[in-house]
Amino acid sequence: MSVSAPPPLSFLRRAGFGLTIAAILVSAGSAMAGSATARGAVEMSGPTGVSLEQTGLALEQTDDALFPLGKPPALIEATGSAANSPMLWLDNAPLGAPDQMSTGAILSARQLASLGAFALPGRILPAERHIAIGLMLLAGAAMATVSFGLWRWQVRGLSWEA
Amino acid sequence: MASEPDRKQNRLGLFTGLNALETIVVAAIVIVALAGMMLVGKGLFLQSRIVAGPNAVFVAAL
Repeated sequence: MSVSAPPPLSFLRRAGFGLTIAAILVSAGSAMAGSATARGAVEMSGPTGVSLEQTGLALEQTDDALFPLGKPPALIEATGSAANSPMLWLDNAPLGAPDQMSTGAILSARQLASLGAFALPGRILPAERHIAIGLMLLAGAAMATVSFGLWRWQVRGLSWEA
Repeated sequence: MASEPDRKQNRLGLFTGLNALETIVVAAIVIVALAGMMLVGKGLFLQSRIVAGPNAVFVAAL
């Protein structure tokens, strides 16, 4: 299942959002600041025929004005391009894929084996598998013997004739 | 009357002092243990074939 960045917004919708955000930011800034900023706000947010390049430039300028030390990473992630976005989306995933994803810290055996660092080094030989299963059966027999012996000791005592 | 404990003493085996249920349980445990030993033996045999080759002949050196 391939993992990629989220699909970007359409050009028209991005332009609309940009215009709206620029108008809101510039009007708010002009309301708070002096008359010089207000004139720029009138220039930028007035007509509807503002080109998209100018809108992007205005957005960058407002970003520089709002964040002189640089935009916070969360804002970069939210408004940045699709390439550097760390948010992961599933492509061509069925509807049940989000339910089957494991977001927990404890991995299942399959996920653990898929990590490679925890995968078994090479394939298991049939001889080793036979020996391992035989030892497991012997261990089970030993545990059953102990349990049965304790149970019979508790019920009958140590007398063998009962 | 006197021969009964002697008969009990004579047939001291694995299943003598057990009733039916206990006999079944002990038999199952013994079967599982035997199967485990057989599997371990087969695994060792396969391991020896891997080490020495499938056409190797094991000669008991006395």
